Amino acid sequence: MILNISLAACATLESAGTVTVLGPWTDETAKDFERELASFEADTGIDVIYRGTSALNQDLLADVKKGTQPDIAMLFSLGELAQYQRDKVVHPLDDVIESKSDAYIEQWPKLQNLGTDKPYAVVVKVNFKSIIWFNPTHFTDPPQTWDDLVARSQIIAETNGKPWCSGMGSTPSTGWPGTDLIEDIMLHQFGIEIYQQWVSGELSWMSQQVRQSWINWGEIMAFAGYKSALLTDFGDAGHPLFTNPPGCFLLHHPSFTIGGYLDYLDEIGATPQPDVPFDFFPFPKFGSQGSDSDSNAWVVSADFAAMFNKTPQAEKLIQYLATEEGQKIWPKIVKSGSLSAHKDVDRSDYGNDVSRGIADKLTSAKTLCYDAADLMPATMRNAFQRAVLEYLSDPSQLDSLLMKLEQVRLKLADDSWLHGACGE
Amino acid sequence: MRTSTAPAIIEVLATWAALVDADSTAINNLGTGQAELTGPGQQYQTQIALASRSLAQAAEDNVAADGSHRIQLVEAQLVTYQDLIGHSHADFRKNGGGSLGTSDLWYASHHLHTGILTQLDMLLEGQKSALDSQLSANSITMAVLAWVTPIVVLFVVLCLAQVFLKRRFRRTLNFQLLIATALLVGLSVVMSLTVISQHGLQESRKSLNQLTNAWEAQIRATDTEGQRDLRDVVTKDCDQPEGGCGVTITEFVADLESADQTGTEIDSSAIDVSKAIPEVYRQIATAAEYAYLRFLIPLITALIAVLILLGFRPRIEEYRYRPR
Repeated sequence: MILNISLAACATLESAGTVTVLGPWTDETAKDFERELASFEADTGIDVIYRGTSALNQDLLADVKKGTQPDIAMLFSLGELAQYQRDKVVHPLDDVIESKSDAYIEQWPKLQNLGTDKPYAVVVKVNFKSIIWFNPTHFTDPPQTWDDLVARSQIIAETNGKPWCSGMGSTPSTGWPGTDLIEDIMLHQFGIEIYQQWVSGELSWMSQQVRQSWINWGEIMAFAGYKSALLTDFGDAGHPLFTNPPGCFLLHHPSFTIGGYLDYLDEIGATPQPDVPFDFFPFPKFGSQGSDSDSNAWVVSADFAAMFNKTPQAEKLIQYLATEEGQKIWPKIVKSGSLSAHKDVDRSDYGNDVSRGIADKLTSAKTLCYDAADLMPATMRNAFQRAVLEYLSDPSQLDSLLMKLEQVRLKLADDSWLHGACGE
Repeated sequence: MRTSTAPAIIEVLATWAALVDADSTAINNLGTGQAELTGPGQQYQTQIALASRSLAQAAEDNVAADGSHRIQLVEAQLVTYQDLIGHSHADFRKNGGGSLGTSDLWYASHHLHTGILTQLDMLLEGQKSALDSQLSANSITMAVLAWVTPIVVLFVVLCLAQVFLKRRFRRTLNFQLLIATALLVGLSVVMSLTVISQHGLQESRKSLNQLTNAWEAQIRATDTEGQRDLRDVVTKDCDQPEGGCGVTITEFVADLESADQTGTEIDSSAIDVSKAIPEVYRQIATAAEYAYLRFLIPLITALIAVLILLGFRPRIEEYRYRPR
């Protein structure tokens, strides 16, 4: 009898295998993620071996070429994921998760399908991007319209303040903070329809709408300082919000920036009080040019889990990540500033009032539009990011840059573009 | 230690040195306007090739647990670094300078220091840690020294036993005990050589430490010079009305000035790496020559025990009145 009990105990403790995961999260964030997966490991006996890398795209491509790809990879670029799907490197998930679930708004299952009739990914964390951060100690009464925003910026500049913070540095994707702001301007100024055409490669880069968006963006960059924007890392850009006197007043950054703020406030010995040192207001509307629905449309991005090796362990983890429990992983990691796309994740699952406020915007949004550059083919995205840097170096070459971007667009095959950037 | 660990440490350092050299060269060439025709320079290309070769060798010799992953990451990051230097060169050629060329140069060097060199540092620590584990696992000096007294005592006992058996039983020398005595002498020799070998490995470790410390100091001195040049290039046109150079550069300059204040000038000629490395390898090879002998110790010990039993058995049987 003792032998039987011992054998049974041994069987329970025996590992049910491993699943390898490659993701972009490193250092403390990686440890937080691994810790949150402990309950999955305990319940299934599956050992999750996570590897974080700051060069995820290159690492994954190298692994795929060598045939040593991870079981699951976490990607934010649906354009790149769609290429893996076309190359038949990533496995469909139609026998692993439900292709349509009422637990998400329609936008997410559509994106997960990558333009096909089967799901190829599970959204694991969402970043809200139509956000302008400020320090309530130094800036009050957030503007509601673009014109107000520019006017307030001008006032600050005239009183020798620096209205905007900005930082493009983020190797190997330097320039993405610039593309983010151009996308927000494009969506809110010209509406969902034009935004979707642009994202799906149907709108010329030399169109009036794209050109005007760049000009508007250039106005903001002039307030931030071109050289300063070029030479500042995106993670450092918000630090001057907290100096006294403030080094800048406004910053356009995604929701995950919260983690950077909390870390920086720890570093300088300031007590992190989310309601005090930083707050946000949603991207302002462009007066009467945008429709009502467009003023309640926001840009988001996300990280998606995709299966590169079809194993029972990988399938179990994908299934778990799609559950309500799995969807709570990132909201629980306070410093991630990340949100969940799952309707059943309660706002009380978020760690601070600012995150809850952003979660409210996400869940009450009429329309969510995916980050344009992350949906574009990788070549287009890289050219877009590069053009941002070249503009900051010499704004007078805007038309030349737009022409070059247009040439890139025209060379890309029609089937390399994804459609359906926006959903309700 | 001879076949993998020490070479792994040396190859990681060689990679680090080559990359720092390449970066400093590129900064100097591109940032000072020499680069329109020559680009980052032949020296840069040579050092990049050397770094890639050393990294590949480090991958073969790697003994650290997460070493393969780190090396793969460095290889990927190195591609990005070279791409950025290429962009910087193209910018300088096109515009004769300008903020984009400077920015790309900054992105490249910043990426090297915050990404690639950080990974190499962790890789180096991993190899050193593996070496320390190897040396402590192989360390049998104290155990060996503890057996000196018993060996001497056993030798005396065996000699006395031969004398006793000859006188008491009028026997000639006991063959098994004689062989056991000879093996005991052999065991003493093996143990002595093992202790000498272990001592030699410890001394080699010290030499390796001296080499790595001096080499690291040399690399850091070269790096500091390069970063000072980068500071001068990047901050050349930072205008306050334009917003300055931003908080990242401000912190970079402050860190450099802080290091300048606390550091001392390093005598970069203090070590000739090309001579020091072969000397360390020679020491390791000499020390490791007899390292395999430690595996003979338990074997010889067991043989001695068996021979002693066989040697005394007939006399014990006699006392028990059992037939032989």
